[in-house]
Amino acid sequence: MDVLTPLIKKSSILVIGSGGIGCELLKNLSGSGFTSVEVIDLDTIDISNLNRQFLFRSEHVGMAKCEVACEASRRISPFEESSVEGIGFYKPHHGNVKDNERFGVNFFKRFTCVLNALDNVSARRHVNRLCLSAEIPLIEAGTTGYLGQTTVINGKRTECYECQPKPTQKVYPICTIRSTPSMPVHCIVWGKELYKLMFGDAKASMLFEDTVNSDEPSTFMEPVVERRLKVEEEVGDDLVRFKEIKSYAVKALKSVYTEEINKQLSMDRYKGASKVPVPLDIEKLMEKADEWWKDKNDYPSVRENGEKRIWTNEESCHELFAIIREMYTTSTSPSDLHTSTVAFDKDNHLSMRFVTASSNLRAHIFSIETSSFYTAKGIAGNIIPAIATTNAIVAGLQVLELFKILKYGKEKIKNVCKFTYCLRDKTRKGLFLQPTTLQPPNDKCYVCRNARVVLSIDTSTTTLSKLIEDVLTKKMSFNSPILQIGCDQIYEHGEEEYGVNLPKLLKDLPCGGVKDGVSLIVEDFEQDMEINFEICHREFEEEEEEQFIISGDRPKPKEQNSEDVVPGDDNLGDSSAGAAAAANELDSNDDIVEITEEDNRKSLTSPPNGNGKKRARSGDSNYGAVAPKKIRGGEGGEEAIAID
Amino acid sequence: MSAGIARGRLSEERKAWRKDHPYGFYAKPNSSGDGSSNLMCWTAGIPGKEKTDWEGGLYKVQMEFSEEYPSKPPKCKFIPPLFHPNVYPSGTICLSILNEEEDWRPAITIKQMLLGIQDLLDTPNPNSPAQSEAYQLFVRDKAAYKKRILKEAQDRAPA
Repeated sequence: MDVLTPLIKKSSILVIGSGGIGCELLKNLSGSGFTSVEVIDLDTIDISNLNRQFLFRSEHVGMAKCEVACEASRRISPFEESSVEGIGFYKPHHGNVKDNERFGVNFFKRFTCVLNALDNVSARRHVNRLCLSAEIPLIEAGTTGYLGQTTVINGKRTECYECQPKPTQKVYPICTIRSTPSMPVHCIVWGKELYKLMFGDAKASMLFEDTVNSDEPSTFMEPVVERRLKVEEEVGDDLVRFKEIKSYAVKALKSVYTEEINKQLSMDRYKGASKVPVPLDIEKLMEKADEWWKDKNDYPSVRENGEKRIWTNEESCHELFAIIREMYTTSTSPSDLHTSTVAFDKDNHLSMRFVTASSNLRAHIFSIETSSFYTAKGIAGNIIPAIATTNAIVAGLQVLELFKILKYGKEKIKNVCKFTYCLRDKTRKGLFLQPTTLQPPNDKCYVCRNARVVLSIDTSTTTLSKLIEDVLTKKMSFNSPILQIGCDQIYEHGEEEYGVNLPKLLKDLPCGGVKDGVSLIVEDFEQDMEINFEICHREFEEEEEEQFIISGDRPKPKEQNSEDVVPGDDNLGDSSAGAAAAANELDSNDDIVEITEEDNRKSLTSPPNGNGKKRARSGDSNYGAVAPKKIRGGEGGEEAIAID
Repeated sequence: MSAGIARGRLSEERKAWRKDHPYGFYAKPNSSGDGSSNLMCWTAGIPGKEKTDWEGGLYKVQMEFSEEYPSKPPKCKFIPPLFHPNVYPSGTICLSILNEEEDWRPAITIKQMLLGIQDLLDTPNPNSPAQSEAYQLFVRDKAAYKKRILKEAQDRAPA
């Protein structure tokens, strides 16, 4: 420790993210004596963060996370000020790390080391690129439920964050669920929590609001939870029962779909948002409740195609009404109603119907695409909660890696630092933490090795704006792309003169167009990234999830499809091949593939055996020539993402 | 392959320019009018230095790079041609650092070239005249020359 103390004093640390992992990390850093620490976070504190982001208290709800977390860290610290000139003493930067005006390469260069505590792949990629450019070691961490990992990325000497393909994000931040949903899955998670609030252990629901210990009035706790009904007696008056159930249903639904939305609107929560939520008129949607009551065996999901087509709002209300009725009827009610055993399970038909209907009503309010029962079921299987303990473990590991970097210098990172998995089931040796050697960069990495990338896309139907949005921004995480064909520039982010090209089809772009065989250079000055795409024209079926393929090599024309499905098998080993097969079975009705915890566990109970085989070493199939979902199972642990 | 080197270097130059460039200057690849622009041909604006007769004007320069760049310098010319002893009637600038056979070195950046041209405005080199009108006036009638430069600065003031 004596060796470390002066080194800690001399070092300056940048922490990105002050949520689940970030709070743990900041507590560790200040307790270890680090004083020169700055924190970037864009989020504000939501009541749902309080259960595990322990630097925050209920009076902090609504305040900037980084500011409250820094304030708390300063109080924990035994010191009074920063020991490195030019670096703040737990200085918060409330903003988006992708804001290059504020957090460019020069901002990063001021630090000894960067510690990531992020919740999404896109920001992680951005930070990875900036750290590579600034030549600063990056200590990366992530969790998915019980699983987690910590690793160290050192310039171009070890594997960078993007050396291995990454599946898309699986877990969602809680404030997104509660207040600002933008995708069907956000509404589905919400529906699941509403189910718990209505029929299960209300306190365990993400939506639960503590009306006893908080002065903040809740719009929905009383109508949804406190007025919960009792199960019908053996012989009850049908009319009384109808009135009782209808009254509960209308009031409960009205509170979540009308009053709570109005409350959020009145708080100016959506100021500046592109779409403002529109509350529903529940009374109107429930007008036919007495008709619904008459035939309890007739409701939308049992009708023809009822599980395949999308229900109208009225049908969703009908479903919810029918479910509430079933729940409180002796013959169907679970014996443990209102306890934690009544929890959402995608295979429990009733709860899945509830989630479909309740999420669609919410989706409607937020102008989000609605889903059929089948689609919703596919999406719903993919949800993993954040676990505070796992966050604490990976954040602890991050600081231990940081100590090693300080002690041995960044030249020795490859030798002394580890990629550590946090497992759910212990290994044969009885370990829950499995350290593995850091891998050298993947020669096919387009980020740290400037490798060639083949982009297969339909050049005669895809527009430039679609290419920029779907491929460059969403898939490859470019922030401000510049596109060139040879020496001609055809697009530059933020420059108006290229706007005329956005609606053009790729083949019709100036300078010969982006066609089969053309070499398209995409640069991002801010990320210090340049990728040379070799364009391969290919037509796609409409129902294919992604209308493009990115790969390391030019695909063979005819066998494309079969090549694309399985080439990863040799690299990935048996467990992931099994997971891939499992994923395939579920493909039919969803676009977010279901990877259950079981899949992750299976592939992680036998973690990499030191030679790194498990981590899908380079093969021809990198960069998602294999549609990324096919390898998700095998990558589960690697691609863990914190819920916050 | 050589075009690749030129392109790569120009891309680097563009990056460097965006990160940092002298106040009042601009420089960017030319628009081709069809929504694209060519990296091999740039347009730049050079402001007249403060406290010189050239102050107030913004002088537009076109830079044409060849595939041999940066082994060979770009051809730089004022658009329209500028009244200046070292500027050819075509607008082409006669400056040692832009001459392959004199002081050009591949390491010279676009920023250095433009600052060099800015310097040249107020410190013409009477030893290498490029146009007779400005040269004659500069050598024979400093007062008239000055007057003419002031008018030039006024005419080329940015809108």
